[in-house]
Amino acid sequence: MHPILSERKRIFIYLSVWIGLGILFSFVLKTLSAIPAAYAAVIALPMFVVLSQLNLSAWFLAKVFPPDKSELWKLFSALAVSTLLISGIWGMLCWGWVTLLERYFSVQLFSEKTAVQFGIVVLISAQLYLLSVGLSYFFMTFETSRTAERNALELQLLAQNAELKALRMQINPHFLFNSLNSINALISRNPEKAREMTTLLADFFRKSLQFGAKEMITLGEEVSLLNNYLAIETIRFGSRLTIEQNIEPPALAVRVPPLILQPLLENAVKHGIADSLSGGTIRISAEQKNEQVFVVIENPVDDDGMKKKGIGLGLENVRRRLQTVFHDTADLQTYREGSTFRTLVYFPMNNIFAEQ
Amino acid sequence: MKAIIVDDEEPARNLVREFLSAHRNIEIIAECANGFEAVKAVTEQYPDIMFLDIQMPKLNGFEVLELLDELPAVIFVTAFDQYALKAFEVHAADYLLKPFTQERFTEALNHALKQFEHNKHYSVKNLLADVKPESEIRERILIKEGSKVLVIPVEKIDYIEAQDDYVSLRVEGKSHLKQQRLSLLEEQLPKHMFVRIHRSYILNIERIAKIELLAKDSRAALLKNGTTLPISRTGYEKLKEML
Repeated sequence: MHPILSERKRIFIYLSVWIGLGILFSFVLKTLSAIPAAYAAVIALPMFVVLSQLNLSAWFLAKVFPPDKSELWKLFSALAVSTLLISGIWGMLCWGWVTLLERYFSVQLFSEKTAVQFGIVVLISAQLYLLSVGLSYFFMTFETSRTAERNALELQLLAQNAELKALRMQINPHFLFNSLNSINALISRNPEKAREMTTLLADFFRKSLQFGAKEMITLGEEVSLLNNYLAIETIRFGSRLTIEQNIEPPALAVRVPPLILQPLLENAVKHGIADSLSGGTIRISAEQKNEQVFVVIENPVDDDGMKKKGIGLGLENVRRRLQTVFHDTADLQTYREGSTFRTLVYFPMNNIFAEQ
Repeated sequence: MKAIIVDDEEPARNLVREFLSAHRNIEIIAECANGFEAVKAVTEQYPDIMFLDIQMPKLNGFEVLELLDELPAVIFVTAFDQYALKAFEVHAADYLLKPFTQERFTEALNHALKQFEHNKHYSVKNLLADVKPESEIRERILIKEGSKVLVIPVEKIDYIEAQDDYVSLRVEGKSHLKQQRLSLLEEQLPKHMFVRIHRSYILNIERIAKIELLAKDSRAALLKNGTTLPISRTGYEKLKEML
Protein backbone atom coordinates (compact mmCIF):
# COMPACT_ATOMS: atom_id res chain seq x y z
CA MET A 1 0.00 0.00 0.00
CA HIS A 2 1.18 3.48 -0.82
CA PRO A 3 2.06 5.27 2.43
CA ILE A 4 0.18 8.43 1.38
CA LEU A 5 -2.96 6.56 0.28
CA SER A 6 -2.98 4.45 3.43
CA GLU A 7 -4.34 7.27 5.59
CA ARG A 8 -7.10 9.81 4.87
CA LYS A 9 -5.17 12.54 6.70
CA ARG A 10 -2.13 12.03 4.54
CA ILE A 11 -4.17 12.16 1.31
CA PHE A 12 -5.65 15.48 2.48
CA ILE A 13 -2.26 16.99 3.31
CA TYR A 14 -0.76 15.71 0.08
CA LEU A 15 -3.54 17.19 -2.05
CA SER A 16 -3.41 20.48 -0.12
CA VAL A 17 0.28 20.83 -0.87
CA TRP A 18 -0.32 20.21 -4.56
CA ILE A 19 -3.25 22.61 -4.73
CA GLY A 20 -1.02 25.17 -3.04
CA LEU A 21 1.56 24.59 -5.76
CA GLY A 22 -1.22 24.89 -8.33
CA ILE A 23 -2.26 28.30 -6.91
CA LEU A 24 1.36 29.43 -7.01
CA PHE A 25 1.60 28.32 -10.63
CA SER A 26 -1.60 30.21 -11.44
CA PHE A 27 0.01 33.43 -10.22
CA VAL A 28 3.08 32.74 -12.31
CA LEU A 29 0.87 32.06 -15.31
CA LYS A 30 -1.17 35.23 -14.74
CA THR A 31 1.94 37.38 -14.39
CA LEU A 32 3.98 35.96 -17.24
CA SER A 33 1.30 35.33 -19.84
CA ALA A 34 -1.12 38.15 -18.90
CA ILE A 35 -4.00 35.72 -18.55
CA PRO A 36 -6.91 36.67 -16.26
CA ALA A 37 -6.57 35.14 -12.80
CA ALA A 38 -9.75 33.02 -13.12
CA TYR A 39 -8.55 31.42 -16.36
CA ALA A 40 -5.08 30.81 -14.92
CA ALA A 41 -6.64 29.02 -11.96
CA VAL A 42 -8.94 26.94 -14.16
CA ILE A 43 -5.94 25.87 -16.20
CA ALA A 44 -3.50 25.26 -13.35
CA LEU A 45 -5.50 23.73 -10.48
CA PRO A 46 -6.95 20.66 -12.28
CA MET A 47 -3.61 20.04 -13.94
CA PHE A 48 -1.83 20.08 -10.57
CA VAL A 49 -4.35 17.63 -9.14
CA VAL A 50 -3.54 15.38 -12.10
CA LEU A 51 0.18 15.90 -11.54
CA SER A 52 -0.22 15.02 -7.87
CA GLN A 53 -1.68 11.68 -8.93
CA LEU A 54 1.08 11.06 -11.46
CA ASN A 55 3.69 11.87 -8.82
CA LEU A 56 2.38 9.17 -6.53
CA SER A 57 4.34 6.79 -8.75
CA ALA A 58 7.58 8.30 -7.39
CA TRP A 59 7.20 6.19 -4.26
CA PHE A 60 6.94 2.99 -6.31
CA LEU A 61 10.13 3.89 -8.14
CA ALA A 62 11.87 4.38 -4.81
CA LYS A 63 10.50 1.06 -3.59
CA VAL A 64 11.56 -0.92 -6.68
CA PHE A 65 15.02 0.68 -6.62
CA PRO A 66 16.05 0.92 -2.96
CA PRO A 67 19.11 3.19 -2.77
CA ASP A 68 21.35 0.74 -0.93
CA LYS A 69 20.59 -2.31 -3.07
CA SER A 70 20.32 -0.97 -6.64
CA GLU A 71 23.04 -0.47 -9.17
CA LEU A 72 23.47 3.22 -9.78
CA TRP A 73 23.15 3.11 -13.57
CA LYS A 74 19.89 1.18 -13.33
CA LEU A 75 18.49 3.63 -10.81
CA PHE A 76 19.44 6.62 -12.94
CA SER A 77 18.11 5.16 -16.19
CA ALA A 78 14.82 4.29 -14.46
CA LEU A 79 14.70 7.77 -13.02
CA ALA A 80 15.39 9.37 -16.42
CA VAL A 81 12.79 7.26 -18.22
CA SER A 82 10.08 7.81 -15.63
CA THR A 83 10.79 11.54 -15.38
CA LEU A 84 10.55 11.92 -19.18
CA LEU A 85 7.40 9.83 -19.23
CA ILE A 86 5.62 11.64 -16.41
CA SER A 87 6.56 15.13 -17.49
CA GLY A 88 5.87 14.29 -21.16
CA ILE A 89 2.43 13.00 -20.33
CA TRP A 90 1.70 15.98 -18.17
CA GLY A 91 2.92 18.39 -20.82
CA MET A 92 0.59 16.76 -23.39
CA LEU A 93 -2.30 16.83 -20.94
CA CYS A 94 -1.69 20.53 -20.27
CA TRP A 95 -1.62 21.23 -23.98
CA GLY A 96 -4.84 19.28 -24.49
CA TRP A 97 -6.54 20.91 -21.52
CA VAL A 98 -5.70 24.45 -22.70
CA THR A 99 -6.87 23.64 -26.22
CA LEU A 100 -10.11 22.17 -24.85
CA LEU A 101 -10.74 25.22 -22.69
CA GLU A 102 -10.04 27.60 -25.60
CA ARG A 103 -12.53 25.71 -27.75
CA TYR A 104 -15.18 25.48 -25.05
CA PHE A 105 -15.03 29.13 -24.05
CA SER A 106 -14.13 30.30 -27.55
CA VAL A 107 -11.26 32.43 -26.29
CA GLN A 108 -7.62 32.70 -27.20
CA LEU A 109 -5.71 32.25 -23.92
CA PHE A 110 -2.25 32.17 -25.40
CA SER A 111 -1.40 34.24 -28.37
CA GLU A 112 0.62 31.33 -29.61
CA LYS A 113 1.58 27.98 -28.08
CA THR A 114 5.30 27.72 -28.57
CA ALA A 115 7.70 24.83 -28.01
CA VAL A 116 9.40 27.00 -25.38
CA GLN A 117 6.20 27.19 -23.38
CA PHE A 118 5.77 23.42 -23.65
CA GLY A 119 9.37 22.97 -22.60
CA ILE A 120 8.86 25.13 -19.51
CA VAL A 121 5.79 23.10 -18.51
CA VAL A 122 7.68 19.83 -18.96
CA LEU A 123 10.65 21.17 -17.00
CA ILE A 124 8.48 22.26 -14.08
CA SER A 125 6.80 18.87 -13.82
CA ALA A 126 10.15 17.09 -14.20
CA GLN A 127 11.56 19.12 -11.29
CA LEU A 128 8.52 18.38 -9.16
CA TYR A 129 8.73 14.69 -10.01
CA LEU A 130 12.41 14.52 -9.08
CA LEU A 131 11.57 16.28 -5.83
CA SER A 132 8.88 13.68 -5.16
CA VAL A 133 11.33 10.86 -5.79
CA GLY A 134 13.85 12.51 -3.48
CA LEU A 135 11.28 12.89 -0.71
CA SER A 136 10.14 9.27 -1.22
CA TYR A 137 13.71 8.09 -0.71
CA PHE A 138 14.07 10.28 2.33
CA PHE A 139 10.95 8.93 3.99
CA MET A 140 11.74 5.37 3.01
CA THR A 141 15.17 5.53 4.67
CA PHE A 142 13.66 7.17 7.71
CA GLU A 143 11.00 4.47 7.94
CA THR A 144 13.53 1.67 7.45
CA SER A 145 15.84 2.89 10.17
CA ARG A 146 12.92 3.31 12.55
CA THR A 147 11.71 -0.24 11.83
CA ALA A 148 15.23 -1.58 12.25
CA GLU A 149 15.54 0.18 15.57
CA ARG A 150 12.24 -1.25 16.77
CA ASN A 151 13.18 -4.74 15.57
CA ALA A 152 16.51 -4.59 17.35
CA LEU A 153 14.76 -3.55 20.54
CA GLU A 154 12.23 -6.36 20.24
CA LEU A 155 14.97 -8.88 19.54
CA GLN A 156 16.88 -7.75 22.58
CA LEU A 157 13.81 -8.18 24.77
CA LEU A 158 13.13 -11.59 23.26
CA ALA A 159 16.69 -12.74 23.83
CA GLN A 160 16.58 -11.57 27.41
CA ASN A 161 13.35 -13.46 28.06
CA ALA A 162 14.64 -16.59 26.35
CA GLU A 163 17.82 -16.43 28.36
CA LEU A 164 15.93 -16.10 31.60
CA LYS A 165 13.72 -19.03 30.69
CA ALA A 166 16.69 -21.17 29.74
CA LEU A 167 18.49 -20.24 32.92
CA ARG A 168 15.47 -21.11 35.01
CA MET A 169 15.03 -24.52 33.44
CA GLN A 170 18.52 -25.71 34.16
CA ILE A 171 17.37 -28.57 36.33
CA ASN A 172 19.66 -31.45 35.74
CA PRO A 173 17.99 -34.25 33.75
CA HIS A 174 20.27 -36.80 35.41
CA PHE A 175 18.68 -35.87 38.70
CA LEU A 176 15.35 -36.98 37.22
CA PHE A 177 16.71 -40.23 35.80
CA ASN A 178 18.56 -41.19 38.96
CA SER A 179 15.50 -40.39 41.07
CA LEU A 180 13.27 -42.48 38.83
CA ASN A 181 15.77 -45.29 39.18
CA SER A 182 15.59 -45.01 42.96
CA ILE A 183 11.80 -45.25 42.77
CA ASN A 184 12.17 -48.25 40.49
CA ALA A 185 14.37 -49.85 43.12
CA LEU A 186 12.12 -48.98 46.05
CA ILE A 187 8.86 -50.22 44.55
CA SER A 188 9.24 -53.83 45.63
CA ARG A 189 11.44 -53.48 48.70
CA ASN A 190 9.81 -50.48 50.28
CA PRO A 191 6.58 -49.44 48.55
CA GLU A 192 5.90 -46.78 51.18
CA LYS A 193 9.20 -45.10 50.44
CA ALA A 194 8.64 -45.42 46.70
CA ARG A 195 5.32 -43.66 47.10
CA GLU A 196 6.97 -40.93 49.18
CA MET A 197 9.69 -40.42 46.60
CA THR A 198 7.15 -40.26 43.76
CA THR A 199 5.25 -37.54 45.57
CA LEU A 200 8.43 -35.66 46.42
CA LEU A 201 9.55 -35.76 42.82
CA ALA A 202 6.14 -34.63 41.55
CA ASP A 203 6.12 -31.80 44.10
CA PHE A 204 9.59 -30.75 43.10
CA PHE A 205 8.76 -30.51 39.42
CA ARG A 206 5.39 -28.89 40.08
CA LYS A 207 7.06 -26.22 42.19
CA SER A 208 9.83 -25.73 39.63
CA LEU A 209 7.28 -25.12 36.90
CA GLN A 210 5.04 -22.99 39.07
CA PHE A 211 7.83 -20.83 40.47
CA GLY A 212 9.76 -20.79 37.22
CA ALA A 213 6.82 -19.11 35.49
CA LYS A 214 6.97 -16.20 37.93
CA GLU A 215 9.21 -13.18 37.85
CA MET A 216 9.87 -13.36 41.58
CA ILE A 217 9.06 -15.64 44.50
CA THR A 218 9.67 -15.37 48.22
CA LEU A 219 12.73 -16.93 49.78
CA GLY A 220 10.27 -19.07 51.73
CA GLU A 221 8.98 -20.57 48.49
CA GLU A 222 12.52 -21.16 47.25
CA VAL A 223 13.42 -22.85 50.53
CA SER A 224 10.41 -25.17 50.26
CA LEU A 225 11.70 -26.19 46.84
CA LEU A 226 15.19 -26.74 48.26
CA ASN A 227 13.79 -28.94 51.04
CA ASN A 228 11.91 -30.95 48.48
CA TYR A 229 15.09 -31.42 46.49
CA LEU A 230 17.10 -32.41 49.58
CA ALA A 231 14.46 -34.94 50.66
CA ILE A 232 14.87 -36.69 47.31
CA GLU A 233 18.66 -36.61 47.43
CA THR A 234 18.59 -38.00 50.98
CA ILE A 235 16.78 -41.09 49.72
CA ARG A 236 19.30 -41.45 46.88
CA PHE A 237 22.46 -40.93 48.91
CA GLY A 238 21.28 -42.38 52.22
CA SER A 239 23.70 -41.90 55.09
CA ARG A 240 26.20 -40.06 52.87
CA LEU A 241 24.06 -36.92 52.99
CA THR A 242 23.38 -35.00 56.21
CA ILE A 243 21.64 -31.64 56.23
CA GLU A 244 21.78 -28.77 58.68
CA GLN A 245 19.51 -25.78 58.30
CA ASN A 246 19.45 -22.46 60.08
CA ILE A 247 17.03 -20.12 58.41
CA GLU A 248 15.78 -17.09 60.29
CA PRO A 249 12.06 -16.50 59.68
CA PRO A 250 12.36 -12.75 58.86
CA ALA A 251 14.59 -13.61 55.90
CA LEU A 252 11.91 -15.77 54.31
CA ALA A 253 9.95 -12.75 53.13
CA VAL A 254 12.59 -11.39 50.78
CA ARG A 255 11.70 -11.67 47.12
CA VAL A 256 14.16 -13.52 44.92
CA PRO A 257 14.24 -14.76 41.32
CA PRO A 258 12.81 -18.31 41.17
CA LEU A 259 15.21 -21.26 41.31
CA ILE A 260 18.15 -18.99 42.06
CA LEU A 261 19.46 -21.10 44.96
CA GLN A 262 18.54 -24.53 43.62
CA PRO A 263 21.51 -24.75 41.20
CA LEU A 264 23.83 -23.74 44.05
CA LEU A 265 22.48 -26.47 46.27
CA GLU A 266 22.73 -28.96 43.43
CA ASN A 267 26.38 -27.93 43.00
CA ALA A 268 26.94 -28.43 46.74
CA VAL A 269 25.41 -31.92 46.65
CA LYS A 270 27.36 -32.87 43.54
CA HIS A 271 30.77 -31.75 44.76
CA GLY A 272 30.29 -32.33 48.46
CA ILE A 273 28.38 -35.61 48.43
CA ALA A 274 28.25 -37.32 45.04
CA ASP A 275 31.97 -36.83 44.37
CA SER A 276 33.00 -37.86 47.85
CA LEU A 277 33.44 -41.39 49.14
CA SER A 278 32.10 -40.82 52.63
CA GLY A 279 29.77 -37.89 51.98
CA GLY A 280 29.22 -35.17 54.55
CA THR A 281 27.01 -32.36 55.76
CA ILE A 282 25.38 -29.65 53.66
CA ARG A 283 24.61 -26.53 55.66
CA ILE A 284 22.11 -23.90 54.61
CA SER A 285 21.62 -20.68 56.49
CA ALA A 286 19.77 -17.44 55.86
CA GLU A 287 19.69 -14.27 57.91
CA GLN A 288 18.58 -10.69 57.58
CA LYS A 289 21.13 -8.01 58.37
CA ASN A 290 20.84 -4.28 57.62
CA GLU A 291 18.21 -4.44 54.90
CA GLN A 292 19.98 -7.34 53.25
CA VAL A 293 19.39 -11.08 53.31
CA PHE A 294 22.41 -13.35 53.32
CA VAL A 295 22.11 -16.98 52.26
CA VAL A 296 25.03 -19.32 52.80
CA ILE A 297 25.35 -22.85 51.45
CA GLU A 298 28.27 -24.96 52.68
CA ASN A 299 29.55 -28.27 51.47
CA PRO A 300 32.64 -30.32 52.32
CA VAL A 301 35.42 -30.68 49.76
CA ASP A 302 38.08 -33.36 49.70
CA ASP A 303 41.53 -31.95 49.64
CA ASP A 304 43.19 -34.59 47.52
CA GLY A 305 44.92 -32.29 45.08
CA MET A 306 42.46 -33.05 42.32
CA LYS A 307 40.83 -30.29 40.37
CA LYS A 308 37.08 -30.30 40.22
CA LYS A 309 35.56 -29.68 36.86
CA GLY A 310 32.27 -27.96 36.12
CA ILE A 311 32.09 -25.65 39.11
CA GLY A 312 32.14 -22.55 37.00
CA LEU A 313 29.14 -22.66 34.70
CA GLY A 314 26.33 -23.10 37.22
CA LEU A 315 27.66 -20.34 39.43
CA GLU A 316 28.19 -18.04 36.48
CA ASN A 317 24.56 -18.48 35.39
CA VAL A 318 23.31 -17.61 38.86
CA ARG A 319 25.55 -14.57 38.98
CA ARG A 320 24.28 -13.34 35.64
CA ARG A 321 20.66 -13.77 36.68
CA LEU A 322 21.30 -11.78 39.84
CA GLN A 323 22.95 -9.08 37.75
CA THR A 324 20.00 -8.96 35.33
CA VAL A 325 17.45 -8.59 38.10
CA PHE A 326 19.24 -6.61 40.81
CA HIS A 327 22.16 -4.98 38.98
CA ASP A 328 24.68 -4.26 41.73
CA THR A 329 22.50 -4.72 44.79
CA ALA A 330 22.88 -8.50 44.88
CA ASP A 331 25.85 -10.78 44.36
CA LEU A 332 27.26 -14.25 44.70
CA GLN A 333 30.61 -15.07 46.27
CA THR A 334 32.41 -18.32 46.91
CA TYR A 335 35.07 -19.12 49.48
CA ARG A 336 37.17 -22.12 50.23
CA GLU A 337 38.07 -22.54 53.89
CA GLY A 338 40.06 -25.67 54.55
CA SER A 339 37.79 -28.54 53.64
CA THR A 340 34.66 -26.38 53.43
CA PHE A 341 33.34 -24.77 50.29
CA ARG A 342 31.05 -21.85 51.02
CA THR A 343 28.70 -20.10 48.61
CA LEU A 344 27.27 -16.77 49.75
CA VAL A 345 24.41 -14.96 48.03
CA TYR A 346 22.95 -11.70 49.23
CA PHE A 347 19.77 -9.95 48.18
CA PRO A 348 18.41 -6.49 48.99
CA MET A 349 15.54 -6.82 51.50
CA ASN A 350 13.42 -4.07 49.96
CA ASN A 351 13.97 -4.64 46.29
CA ILE A 352 11.92 -3.21 43.46
CA PHE A 353 9.79 -6.33 43.44
CA ALA A 354 8.97 -6.15 47.13
CA GLU A 355 5.56 -4.57 46.69
CA GLN A 356 4.36 -7.04 44.07
CA MET B 1 28.43 -67.50 37.69
CA LYS B 2 29.74 -64.74 39.92
CA ALA B 3 28.62 -61.14 39.65
CA ILE B 4 29.54 -57.89 41.37
CA ILE B 5 27.51 -54.71 41.57
CA VAL B 6 29.25 -51.34 41.57
CA ASP B 7 27.17 -48.22 42.21
CA ASP B 8 27.54 -45.40 44.71
CA GLU B 9 23.79 -45.19 45.30
CA GLU B 10 22.33 -47.86 47.51
CA PRO B 11 18.86 -47.94 45.93
CA ALA B 12 20.50 -48.46 42.55
CA ARG B 13 22.48 -51.44 43.88
CA ASN B 14 19.33 -52.85 45.42
CA LEU B 15 17.55 -52.73 42.09
CA VAL B 16 20.26 -54.74 40.32
CA ARG B 17 20.30 -57.20 43.19
CA GLU B 18 16.56 -57.64 42.96
CA PHE B 19 16.54 -58.08 39.18
CA LEU B 20 19.38 -60.60 39.52
CA SER B 21 17.41 -62.66 42.03
CA ALA B 22 15.31 -63.95 39.14
CA HIS B 23 18.47 -65.57 37.76
CA ARG B 24 19.29 -68.46 40.07
CA ASN B 25 22.55 -69.36 38.29
CA ILE B 26 24.11 -66.03 39.22
CA GLU B 27 25.58 -65.38 42.63
CA ILE B 28 26.35 -61.88 43.83
CA ILE B 29 29.79 -62.03 45.43
CA ALA B 30 30.22 -58.33 46.18
CA GLU B 31 28.47 -54.98 46.28
CA CYS B 32 30.75 -51.96 45.95
CA ALA B 33 29.89 -48.34 46.70
CA ASN B 34 32.86 -46.89 44.81
CA GLY B 35 35.60 -47.58 42.30
CA PHE B 36 38.27 -48.45 44.87
CA GLU B 37 36.14 -51.18 46.37
CA ALA B 38 35.38 -52.40 42.86
CA VAL B 39 39.04 -52.76 41.89
CA LYS B 40 39.75 -54.60 45.13
CA ALA B 41 36.77 -56.93 44.72
CA VAL B 42 37.53 -57.79 41.11
CA THR B 43 41.22 -58.37 41.82
CA GLU B 44 40.55 -60.62 44.78
CA GLN B 45 37.38 -62.44 43.79
CA TYR B 46 37.47 -62.74 39.97
CA PRO B 47 33.80 -62.16 39.12
CA ASP B 48 32.43 -63.18 35.71
CA ILE B 49 30.03 -60.30 35.33
CA MET B 50 30.26 -56.74 36.60
CA PHE B 51 27.43 -54.22 36.79
CA LEU B 52 29.23 -50.90 36.72
CA ASP B 53 28.01 -47.37 37.32
CA ILE B 54 30.03 -44.71 35.50
CA GLN B 55 29.65 -41.55 37.54
CA MET B 56 31.15 -42.40 40.92
CA PRO B 57 33.25 -40.41 43.39
CA LYS B 58 37.04 -40.29 42.78
CA LEU B 59 37.27 -43.23 40.43
CA ASN B 60 34.75 -43.48 37.60
CA GLY B 61 33.66 -46.65 35.83
CA PHE B 62 36.09 -46.28 32.96
CA GLU B 63 39.01 -45.74 35.32
CA VAL B 64 38.04 -48.89 37.20
CA LEU B 65 38.32 -50.86 33.95
CA GLU B 66 41.66 -49.25 33.16
CA LEU B 67 43.07 -50.55 36.42
CA LEU B 68 41.98 -54.15 35.99
CA ASP B 69 44.20 -56.85 34.48
CA GLU B 70 41.45 -59.36 33.92
CA LEU B 71 38.11 -57.97 32.91
CA PRO B 72 34.80 -59.66 33.61
CA ALA B 73 31.94 -59.09 31.15
CA VAL B 74 30.86 -55.52 31.86
CA ILE B 75 27.37 -54.06 31.86
CA PHE B 76 27.36 -50.32 32.40
CA VAL B 77 24.42 -49.06 34.46
CA THR B 78 24.08 -45.31 34.28
CA ALA B 79 21.76 -42.34 33.85
CA PHE B 80 24.27 -40.69 31.52
CA ASP B 81 23.72 -41.58 27.89
CA GLN B 82 26.61 -39.42 26.68
CA TYR B 83 28.98 -42.24 27.67
CA ALA B 84 27.31 -44.87 25.46
CA LEU B 85 29.86 -44.51 22.67
CA LYS B 86 32.83 -44.80 24.96
CA ALA B 87 31.22 -47.81 26.61
CA PHE B 88 31.23 -49.64 23.30
CA GLU B 89 34.83 -48.64 22.74
CA VAL B 90 35.79 -50.50 25.89
CA HIS B 91 33.80 -53.52 24.65
CA ALA B 92 31.06 -53.35 27.24
CA ALA B 93 28.59 -56.19 26.89
CA ASP B 94 25.72 -53.76 27.25
CA TYR B 95 24.69 -50.38 28.50
CA LEU B 96 21.68 -49.98 30.80
CA LEU B 97 20.10 -46.56 31.08
CA LYS B 98 18.51 -45.77 34.43
CA PRO B 99 15.68 -46.41 35.02
CA PHE B 100 15.24 -49.74 33.25
CA THR B 101 12.81 -52.68 33.24
CA GLN B 102 13.38 -56.30 34.22
CA GLU B 103 13.10 -57.25 30.51
CA ARG B 104 15.79 -54.83 29.44
CA PHE B 105 17.94 -56.00 32.34
CA THR B 106 17.59 -59.65 31.30
CA GLU B 107 18.49 -58.74 27.72
CA ALA B 108 21.67 -57.02 28.91
CA LEU B 109 22.49 -59.97 31.14
CA ASN B 110 22.14 -62.35 28.17
CA HIS B 111 24.51 -60.18 26.15
CA ALA B 112 26.99 -60.38 28.99
CA LEU B 113 26.67 -64.14 29.29
CA LYS B 114 27.26 -64.50 25.56
CA GLN B 115 30.32 -62.26 25.70
CA PHE B 116 31.57 -64.19 28.69
CA GLU B 117 31.32 -67.49 26.76
CA HIS B 118 33.15 -65.94 23.81
CA ASN B 119 35.96 -64.38 25.76
CA LYS B 120 36.59 -67.19 28.18
CA HIS B 121 39.87 -68.10 26.58
CA TYR B 122 40.67 -64.76 25.13
CA SER B 123 43.01 -62.47 26.92
CA VAL B 124 41.04 -59.45 27.99
CA LYS B 125 44.22 -57.43 28.03
CA ASN B 126 44.24 -57.64 24.23
CA LEU B 127 40.77 -56.22 24.07
CA LEU B 128 41.80 -53.34 26.22
CA ALA B 129 44.91 -52.76 24.15
CA ASP B 130 42.67 -51.41 21.39
CA VAL B 131 41.37 -48.86 23.78
CA LYS B 132 44.27 -47.84 25.90
CA PRO B 133 46.27 -45.72 23.48
CA GLU B 134 43.99 -42.80 24.16
CA SER B 135 46.25 -39.85 24.58
CA GLU B 136 44.00 -37.51 26.50
CA ILE B 137 45.89 -35.41 29.01
CA ARG B 138 45.54 -36.71 32.56
CA GLU B 139 45.46 -34.77 35.78
CA ARG B 140 46.18 -37.86 37.80
CA ILE B 141 47.75 -41.24 37.30
CA LEU B 142 46.07 -44.39 38.59
CA ILE B 143 48.22 -47.19 39.93
CA LYS B 144 47.14 -50.53 41.24
CA GLU B 145 49.32 -52.11 43.90
CA GLY B 146 47.88 -55.48 44.70
CA SER B 147 44.19 -54.81 45.15
CA LYS B 148 44.79 -51.27 46.32
CA VAL B 149 44.39 -48.27 44.06
CA LEU B 150 46.63 -45.22 44.29
CA VAL B 151 45.53 -41.95 42.77
CA ILE B 152 48.52 -39.74 42.10
CA PRO B 153 48.02 -36.12 40.99
CA VAL B 154 50.54 -35.52 38.20
CA GLU B 155 52.08 -32.50 39.93
CA LYS B 156 53.28 -34.77 42.73
CA ILE B 157 55.42 -36.84 40.36
CA ASP B 158 59.16 -36.02 40.46
CA TYR B 159 60.21 -38.12 37.51
CA ILE B 160 59.37 -41.33 35.69
CA GLU B 161 61.83 -44.02 34.71
CA ALA B 162 61.29 -46.73 32.09
CA GLN B 163 61.88 -50.29 33.36
CA ASP B 164 61.27 -52.98 30.73
CA ASP B 165 57.49 -53.22 30.29
CA TYR B 166 56.90 -50.99 33.27
CA VAL B 167 57.36 -47.42 34.26
CA SER B 168 58.47 -46.43 37.72
CA LEU B 169 56.96 -43.23 39.07
CA ARG B 170 58.97 -41.43 41.70
CA VAL B 171 56.55 -39.68 44.06
CA GLU B 172 57.41 -38.15 47.42
CA GLY B 173 60.44 -40.35 47.93
CA LYS B 174 58.68 -43.58 46.92
CA SER B 175 58.63 -45.54 43.68
CA HIS B 176 55.44 -46.92 42.16
CA LEU B 177 55.37 -49.38 39.29
CA LYS B 178 52.79 -49.18 36.55
CA GLN B 179 52.44 -51.40 33.53
CA GLN B 180 52.58 -48.93 30.69
CA ARG B 181 54.98 -47.81 28.00
CA LEU B 182 56.91 -44.60 28.70
CA SER B 183 56.03 -43.09 25.32
CA LEU B 184 52.31 -43.51 25.96
CA LEU B 185 52.59 -42.01 29.41
CA GLU B 186 54.53 -39.12 27.90
CA GLU B 187 51.55 -38.31 25.67
CA GLN B 188 49.18 -38.32 28.63
CA LEU B 189 51.17 -35.97 30.83
CA PRO B 190 50.66 -32.20 30.65
CA LYS B 191 53.19 -30.78 28.21
CA HIS B 192 53.94 -27.68 30.22
CA MET B 193 55.06 -29.73 33.22
CA PHE B 194 56.88 -32.79 31.90
CA VAL B 195 59.75 -33.29 29.47
CA ARG B 196 61.21 -36.49 28.08
CA ILE B 197 64.85 -35.73 28.87
CA HIS B 198 66.16 -39.15 27.96
CA ARG B 199 65.08 -42.41 26.32
CA SER B 200 64.35 -43.75 29.80
CA TYR B 201 63.31 -40.62 31.71
CA ILE B 202 60.45 -38.15 31.90
CA LEU B 203 61.10 -35.26 34.26
CA ASN B 204 58.85 -32.82 36.06
CA ILE B 205 60.65 -29.57 35.20
CA GLU B 206 59.71 -27.95 38.49
CA ARG B 207 62.00 -30.41 40.25
CA ILE B 208 65.15 -29.26 38.48
CA ALA B 209 67.76 -27.60 40.72
CA LYS B 210 70.35 -27.16 38.00
CA ILE B 211 71.72 -28.66 34.82
CA GLU B 212 75.33 -29.79 34.87
CA LEU B 213 77.66 -30.10 31.91
CA LEU B 214 79.61 -33.32 32.40
CA ALA B 215 81.51 -33.38 29.12
CA LYS B 216 80.92 -32.06 25.62
CA ASP B 217 77.31 -32.95 24.71
CA SER B 218 76.89 -34.81 27.95
CA ARG B 219 74.65 -33.25 30.55
CA ALA B 220 72.82 -34.27 33.70
CA ALA B 221 69.89 -32.81 35.63
CA LEU B 222 70.43 -32.32 39.32
CA LEU B 223 67.07 -32.45 41.10
CA LYS B 224 66.10 -30.58 44.24
CA ASN B 225 66.07 -33.86 46.16
CA GLY B 226 69.65 -34.59 45.12
CA THR B 227 68.99 -37.17 42.44
CA THR B 228 70.96 -36.90 39.21
CA LEU B 229 69.37 -37.94 35.91
CA PRO B 230 71.06 -38.19 32.52
CA ILE B 231 69.96 -35.82 29.74
CA SER B 232 70.27 -36.86 26.13
CA ARG B 233 71.10 -34.41 23.33
CA THR B 234 67.48 -34.24 22.04
CA GLY B 235 66.31 -34.13 25.64
CA TYR B 236 68.48 -31.09 26.21
CA GLU B 237 67.06 -29.40 23.10
CA LYS B 238 63.51 -29.91 24.41
CA LEU B 239 64.46 -28.74 27.86
CA LYS B 240 66.13 -25.61 26.50
CA GLU B 241 62.97 -24.78 24.56
CA MET B 242 60.88 -24.98 27.69
CA LEU B 243 63.14 -23.12 30.08
